[in-house]
Amino acid sequence: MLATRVPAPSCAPRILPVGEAALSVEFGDRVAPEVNAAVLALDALIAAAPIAGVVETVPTYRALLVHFDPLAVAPAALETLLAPLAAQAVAEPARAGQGRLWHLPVAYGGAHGIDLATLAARHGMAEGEVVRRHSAEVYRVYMLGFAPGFAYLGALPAALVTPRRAEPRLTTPAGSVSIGGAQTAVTSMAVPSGWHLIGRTPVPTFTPAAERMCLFEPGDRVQCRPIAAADFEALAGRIARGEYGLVPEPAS
Amino acid sequence: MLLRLIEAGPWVSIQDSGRLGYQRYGIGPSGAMDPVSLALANRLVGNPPATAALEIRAPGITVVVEGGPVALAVAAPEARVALDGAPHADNATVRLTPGQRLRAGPGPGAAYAYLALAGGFALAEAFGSLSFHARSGIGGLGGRALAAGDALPLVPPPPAVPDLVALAPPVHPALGDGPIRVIEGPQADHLAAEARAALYGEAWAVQPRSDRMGVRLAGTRLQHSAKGAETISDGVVLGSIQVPGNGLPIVLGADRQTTGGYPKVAVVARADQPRFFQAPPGRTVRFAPITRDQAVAALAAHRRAVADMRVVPAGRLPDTAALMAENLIDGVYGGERD
Repeated sequence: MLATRVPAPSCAPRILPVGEAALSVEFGDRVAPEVNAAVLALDALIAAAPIAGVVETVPTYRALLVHFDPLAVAPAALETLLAPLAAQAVAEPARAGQGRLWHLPVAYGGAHGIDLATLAARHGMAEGEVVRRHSAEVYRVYMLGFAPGFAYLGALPAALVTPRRAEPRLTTPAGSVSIGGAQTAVTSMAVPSGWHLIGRTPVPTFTPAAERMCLFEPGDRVQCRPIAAADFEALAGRIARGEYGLVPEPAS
Repeated sequence: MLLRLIEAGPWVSIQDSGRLGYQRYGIGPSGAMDPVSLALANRLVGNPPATAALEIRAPGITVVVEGGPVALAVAAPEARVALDGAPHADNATVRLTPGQRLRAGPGPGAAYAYLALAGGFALAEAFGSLSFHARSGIGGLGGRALAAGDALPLVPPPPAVPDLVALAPPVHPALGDGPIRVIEGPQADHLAAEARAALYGEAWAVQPRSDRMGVRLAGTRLQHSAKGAETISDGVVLGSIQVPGNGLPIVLGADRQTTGGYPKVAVVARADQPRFFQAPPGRTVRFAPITRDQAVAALAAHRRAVADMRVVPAGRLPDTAALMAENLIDGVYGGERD
């Protein structure tokens, strides 16, 4: 499914020092699936053939942050090792493949999405139209960050792009589905947020005790499936009793 | 055995060297803001240097031990230690017996003190570390913030822990004045030229709102270049200096978010991070740019200094001042040492 060809990133990778113990390999200066695919491809290349001294890699929208011990591997030597791998990642971004596809149940509006009405009014749309457009899209999980398991999804349809709230809320409920600028997100836990809350999923996306603590991985795909408020409660109950677990369509 | 917290709050948490490998999931490393003092506290009680300890900010804590005596140490560039109200030497082994109240915290010249106990805590690790991370709700005592009344289970202490003191001066290789060394980048071009000069030319005051997530600095408001005050969110490191829209730098600490979208204009050199993070609210600091190669050399020297940090038996101190310290210790503890 969605066997779209992935165009190569337009920018050659840049390797930038981040202090003396990290390097940022940047694949561009934009949020785009092909750029993010190159980031994940480099991440996979390093995971497949670990480099001595590298302690951790952190993939984000357009860059891979490589943490290392500079007394175990000299920064310049690591740059020399990473350059050809970055070039390979650009040449073969498909190595990252098509991620798993999640059909995420989301109760839009009402108590579960307290900003849906104002956001719809702002765009001159009916609430149902916002829901239709938001749930029609298959989003890419670009990265996890900000808080444990917090998934940044994109790209949001242009018609739904909305600047962040002027006054961030000190707390928002776990599972909130929100819009901030050109991004949409699924929050994993109660966090402060200036994004617009349009819905909520009962499916936990961060479970510290679980073997797989985060539901989503970077590169996964997510499509929201609208459910009624009553179904939210029913599903939350089944999840609490261990009777329900969301299963994705496998990666290709 | 238990360590009971009599006076405590969110300003105290259990920290070790932190957890690596989970930033890709949005879980930061956490860990001690000053790993040098953590290592020193542990060395004074015979523990491996990264054993989990209590990391304490002002106004400090009061604890008692239940179930038997325990050897502990409170380390910081400057710490306040008192047993039943009587001042006790910092950076030295302390014997705490049931019924005695220990008060401990950083002195006015430090931000963090570390209370290590011989044997350590009998608590379960979360993702390879006991470090508490508030936002993730993991680590420490069941993933929640500590509060007065909490009881922390202790590993039964080893039978013979000698009385030790840290050799002074300098107790703490992270001490020392002079500017905090930084490596420029990766987004230094988001600062206007004058702002870049101001970052290294002006003094910066540590604000009281600073915490384990970040140290907020007050001073000249730094103007951004035409590139602006936002970037595409990417990874951050310990010591990243980010400059948000208001122009006031924030230096990211151990409980930082894993990614950030403000320009990250420089990074505090690892060798200077413990010293920087120990700067208490109100202290002013200056930054000086160095090359990456200089930072690596400084880190190598720093690690040697930490490895060479000496603790000696309390009874074998060579100089008069130390002998007086020994007498003080004997007076308080009735000569319990070897």
